[in-house]
Amino acid sequence: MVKVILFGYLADTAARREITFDLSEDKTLKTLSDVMRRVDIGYLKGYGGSYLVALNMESAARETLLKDGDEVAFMPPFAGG
Amino acid sequence: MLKPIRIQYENFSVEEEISEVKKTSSMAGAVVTFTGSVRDFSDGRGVRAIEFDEYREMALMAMEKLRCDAVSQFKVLDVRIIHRVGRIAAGEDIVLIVAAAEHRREAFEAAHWCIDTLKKNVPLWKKEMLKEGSEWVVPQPS
Repeated sequence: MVKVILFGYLADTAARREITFDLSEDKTLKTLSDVMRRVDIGYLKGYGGSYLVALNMESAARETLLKDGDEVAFMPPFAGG
Repeated sequence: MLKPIRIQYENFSVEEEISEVKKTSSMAGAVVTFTGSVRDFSDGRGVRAIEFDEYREMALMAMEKLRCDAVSQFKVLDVRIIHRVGRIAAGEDIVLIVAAAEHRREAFEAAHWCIDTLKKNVPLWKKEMLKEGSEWVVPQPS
């Protein structure tokens, strides 16, 4: 299972914080992003479609293969301070 | 002893943080603080409060990196960064940066760099609670 966590605008729009996905086949960060877009086209369209993705709290290449237990965060542009 | 990097719901005391940073070195000839607060207006609209969302573990890691980078780049003696989350009412404080150095220039530069970089690199998000409705804040170039 891969845990997807949503933050800020994305969590609000999706009305949930977490989504889990079964890894039935090899998936990369890019294919997971594509799946997320199909889950709800509205999620990732905020801020002009601009969002950041972190794998286990670090940036990673889109081609990175996901493994069981990974945590993927979909994040709007940061707005602290 | 208070940790130099914190994310917390409760307010902070600027005096207490200055006192803490002075404990770390007797060589500090300058202590610069930056405090960010909740304005009661935004784009001409009244703001009652701000609510923060956070990716806490990643945010703390990013804040610790900020501190290390600031000490290394600006040759300051120490840096403290405290950010509040949850619901913060208009007029209350959000974030505090404290930079201590032997001389004022490094302390000013480090504090300035820390708040600018925090806004870009630390996973925190704010929603303005307006007089009517609410709205997520889209970051603007400062």
